Amino acid sequence: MAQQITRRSFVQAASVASLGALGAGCLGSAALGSVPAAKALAEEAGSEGAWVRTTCSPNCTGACGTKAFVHDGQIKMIDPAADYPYTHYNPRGCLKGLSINTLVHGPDRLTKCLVRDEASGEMREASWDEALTVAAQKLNATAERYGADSIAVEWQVQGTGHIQKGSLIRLTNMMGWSAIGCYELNGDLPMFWPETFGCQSEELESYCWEDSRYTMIFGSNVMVTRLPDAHFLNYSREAGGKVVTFDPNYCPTAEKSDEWVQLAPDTDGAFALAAAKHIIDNDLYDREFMANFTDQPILIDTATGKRILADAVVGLSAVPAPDYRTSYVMLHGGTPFAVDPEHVGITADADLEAEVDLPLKDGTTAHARTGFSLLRESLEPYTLEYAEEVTGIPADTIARIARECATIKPMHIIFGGAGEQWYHGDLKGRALALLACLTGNIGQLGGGISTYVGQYKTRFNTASWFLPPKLNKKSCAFQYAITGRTPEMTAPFPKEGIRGLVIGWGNPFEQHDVADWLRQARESGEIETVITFEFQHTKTVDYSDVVFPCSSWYEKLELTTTPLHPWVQLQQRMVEPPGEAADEIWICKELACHLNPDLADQWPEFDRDQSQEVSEQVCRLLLEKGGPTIDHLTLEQLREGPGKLAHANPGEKRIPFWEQVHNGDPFPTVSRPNAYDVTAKFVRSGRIEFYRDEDIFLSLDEQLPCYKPAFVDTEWKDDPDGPQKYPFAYITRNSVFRIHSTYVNDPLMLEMQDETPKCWMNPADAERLGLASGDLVEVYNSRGQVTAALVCDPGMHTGQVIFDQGWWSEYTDGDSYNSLIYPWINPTNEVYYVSSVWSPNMAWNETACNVRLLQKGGALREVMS
Amino acid sequence: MKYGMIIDLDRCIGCRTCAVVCKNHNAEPEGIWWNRVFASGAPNYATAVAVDGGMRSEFLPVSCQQCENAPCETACPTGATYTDENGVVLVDYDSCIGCRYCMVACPYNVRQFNWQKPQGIPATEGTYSYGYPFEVRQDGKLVYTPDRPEGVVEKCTFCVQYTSEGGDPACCVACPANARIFGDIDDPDSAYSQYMKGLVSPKEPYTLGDEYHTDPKVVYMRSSRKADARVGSEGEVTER
Repeated sequence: MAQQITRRSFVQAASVASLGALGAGCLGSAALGSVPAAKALAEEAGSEGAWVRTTCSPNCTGACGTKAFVHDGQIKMIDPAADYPYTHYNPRGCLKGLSINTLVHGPDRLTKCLVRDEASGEMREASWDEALTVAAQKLNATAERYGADSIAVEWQVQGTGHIQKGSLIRLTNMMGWSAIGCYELNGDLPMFWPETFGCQSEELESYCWEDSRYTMIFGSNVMVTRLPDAHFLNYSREAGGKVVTFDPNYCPTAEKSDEWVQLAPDTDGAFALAAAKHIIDNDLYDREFMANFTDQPILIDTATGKRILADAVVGLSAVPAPDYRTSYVMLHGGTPFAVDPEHVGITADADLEAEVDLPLKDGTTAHARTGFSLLRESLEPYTLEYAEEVTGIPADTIARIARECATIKPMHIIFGGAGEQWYHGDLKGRALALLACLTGNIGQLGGGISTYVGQYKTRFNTASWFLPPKLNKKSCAFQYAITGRTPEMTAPFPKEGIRGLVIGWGNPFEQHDVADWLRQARESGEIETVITFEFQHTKTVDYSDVVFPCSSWYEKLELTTTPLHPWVQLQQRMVEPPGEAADEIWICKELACHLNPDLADQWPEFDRDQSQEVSEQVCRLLLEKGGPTIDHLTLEQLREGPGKLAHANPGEKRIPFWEQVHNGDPFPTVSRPNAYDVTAKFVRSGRIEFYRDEDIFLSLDEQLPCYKPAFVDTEWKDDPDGPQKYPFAYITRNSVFRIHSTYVNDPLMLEMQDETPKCWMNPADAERLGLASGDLVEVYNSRGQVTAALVCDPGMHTGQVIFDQGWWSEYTDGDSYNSLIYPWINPTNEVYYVSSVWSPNMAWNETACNVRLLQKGGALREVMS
Repeated sequence: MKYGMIIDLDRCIGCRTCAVVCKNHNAEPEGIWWNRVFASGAPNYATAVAVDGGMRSEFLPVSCQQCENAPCETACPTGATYTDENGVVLVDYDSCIGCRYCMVACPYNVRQFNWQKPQGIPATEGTYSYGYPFEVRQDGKLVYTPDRPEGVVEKCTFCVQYTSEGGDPACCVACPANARIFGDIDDPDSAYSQYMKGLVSPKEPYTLGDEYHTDPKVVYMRSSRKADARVGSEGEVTER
């Protein structure tokens, strides 16, 4: 159908929406000649083979430059490219990415379109024309019945690809389908970031770790989940720095740290608050930083709990500022003044602790205290002894570490997914952010707080490709499909619910928290249409109506970035996609044309075998229109190797919040791809905010960071017998052998695990249940179950069952390990809605379970070998 | 010229990337691993071991130790196992008769017998074979081939296909922790010598199995981690 569209019509459409560069250059003969297509590469290689550079970029945040040896049309082995100009980044890669050739050429590759046969109900092979036609018919029928927004679309980890993934985003943004924010669907969104700093997140790129002199790690198993970056922690130690890992379990990261601090699961917040109290009580805190850059000197009305507006106070008027900011009141020597929310770093002398009666213009008087006064009071219960009781960490250890982290600089906190993905994970993050601020480490090289979960970050302006001229853009918060609508919800959710799914770069019927719900909704017909873009035969393929076979990242051109390093890189086609597999850019263009011929002018006109050339043009467009962080880079440069993103601060390494702390710019930083004003309202003071005065925070007594225990507000809330029935926390940690559910079928990974899913328990817990290593057990709760071989690990804290996530259910007797999990929605997540910045989140670890024996010694060989 | 390898256990993060790239580059069939990573005392990866009241999970990659005094070479009745001019112990697949005396002689248990395991893995069509796709001969001796003969003993060759061209073994190239250092022991400027002098990072070297007097050319740097970590409230269910 696209062939009917003239290039002229596309150029006309493009020129009205900054697509001119693409349209004008589209399919020029020079461009065609400049692309090293896989066939040309293979011919160049001759019989001796050749090494070709690309980027390994699944959902792991690694974005590792690799090179593959191509011989006889196949990838034979893979090495790190090791071509980063900052040599400490070399080499990057891991056991999974460096063996992906076994998947690229393996038996689970999709090589043909699949369509569900109406008569038999089975999936059968189909031509591209039939697959596209059926997909378009089904999607159009669902949209007609329930509205276009009832079709939800997920593309995982946008930052891993901007051209091919960008094509599905572009298609979604012209169809009015609901984009699912996968960052929150995956539970990766660390809510304390928007709550405290107003942005999606900021983090040190990993080469800054070597600059830290004190590193505290909470809920992050860097030595397993950040393999290509892990060595920077070793380099920090070698340079004299200290690394302290707080973890309930003796994980590989504990082994590679100077100190392991074992604490009870989900009690990190109690430690952080006791440490904060100790720092404040002993006058070890950075008073100037707290006064200059945080909201702590701002006056709070003690009667209402609200911050006092400058405009409300007799004798004051608000400092003019954009609508998304508010001018509040501070004291200087007891005299009130209106605070300028557009500038920070100018209130070093503001009264940090004060209490005052303020006459208001309405004739009343407000009794007010500063945020810091309220903070000091709120921290009173968090004595060292209390924290010892909650966390199990000796009081003198807490005091020592509090002093160390306050006095050794730069100090950096890594707060990872295992700590964050609890119902009250945001409270923990706010408490840890308090430590980073009290010690004045924000805006310093090697200092601050970072969260590395997911490849979420959009590092340049992507509008030139993601946003089509005919824009019809929507999003929704998917968790409501399971929980139902809540009284507090502010997020959009389709009127008729989720009735169709378009899935790219993900395996939700296996890997998601909602996998079981999805399977049931599919079987019941509630979800009537599922269209999948995939390169492997996953469980999601089995639940689809139409499956498009896609190129792997050794078979297409893609533009990648990551939060972990500053390098922009290409994925490059070095072997041909197998069979009928195609690049997503062509599939999306064709699907758009099949859905609505009027949308053809939103796409370049090209045939499947020209996908490479058009991808190249889109790449140029993204670079040219990408703004100041990336527009100095060219495609030609990237073909040679990694290109570095630009940053504002002087020096080699980007420093988060440098502009705020050194230039006085207001918080937050921008959260791309959103416009600045969309998220700036999260911190209306223009400062780092530890005090939140929205009604829901006040009603939950969460206006300041506090500690709340696991399960009390969730699993055990309505069931007094809950603690007896399900006494263990069910922790689905990341495995060294998988990236979520990718690589599960890598034969080398399978061999190393005896092809056996395992779960781990403390030996005392196991003994109490009459269990031992090598037993085949079932982990269960009221929602679901999974079978595994039990391993007793004396390094584990009691009270937990750990299951290494990612196993496809074909290895676990058909049960999804996610069947035990439920997407609890914390109402503080619902105060605002900006997809993937402030949104209902997923708390994987907020899951209680129990364990029972299936077969004594049933997996002894697999566990003890 | 004498090749040596340093494995810095203070840097090793136990990820097994070295084992996997070894297998991938050297076309090792199912069941054969020239390079394995152990967590000393633990039956399973990511499982701690109680040591002196604390916890440890010390990672130990083990492959052929490339002994200067190689018992496998002494035991070999056909001369298939020999030491080349770079000090690398190799096996000539053409001469190996599969008697496995060398496997008995090796104190490190790093030699593996190829029982004619199936080569390659299933592919979308037929089978797919990974690994360096060409034969390597040294003075006529077949020291590497992707098409493994039946019934011979295999082991690490320091990646003879690369080191013979001036490259490094795949495990050293790929180690994301930069824990594996390769070079010429005789050259004071080599990466090996520089590291051994502590110029990169001062560490304490040691070799495995000194009691066997094998004089390995694989040298380990001791991990600085001490088993001083506090054990938690083992035996008590955590109150929530």
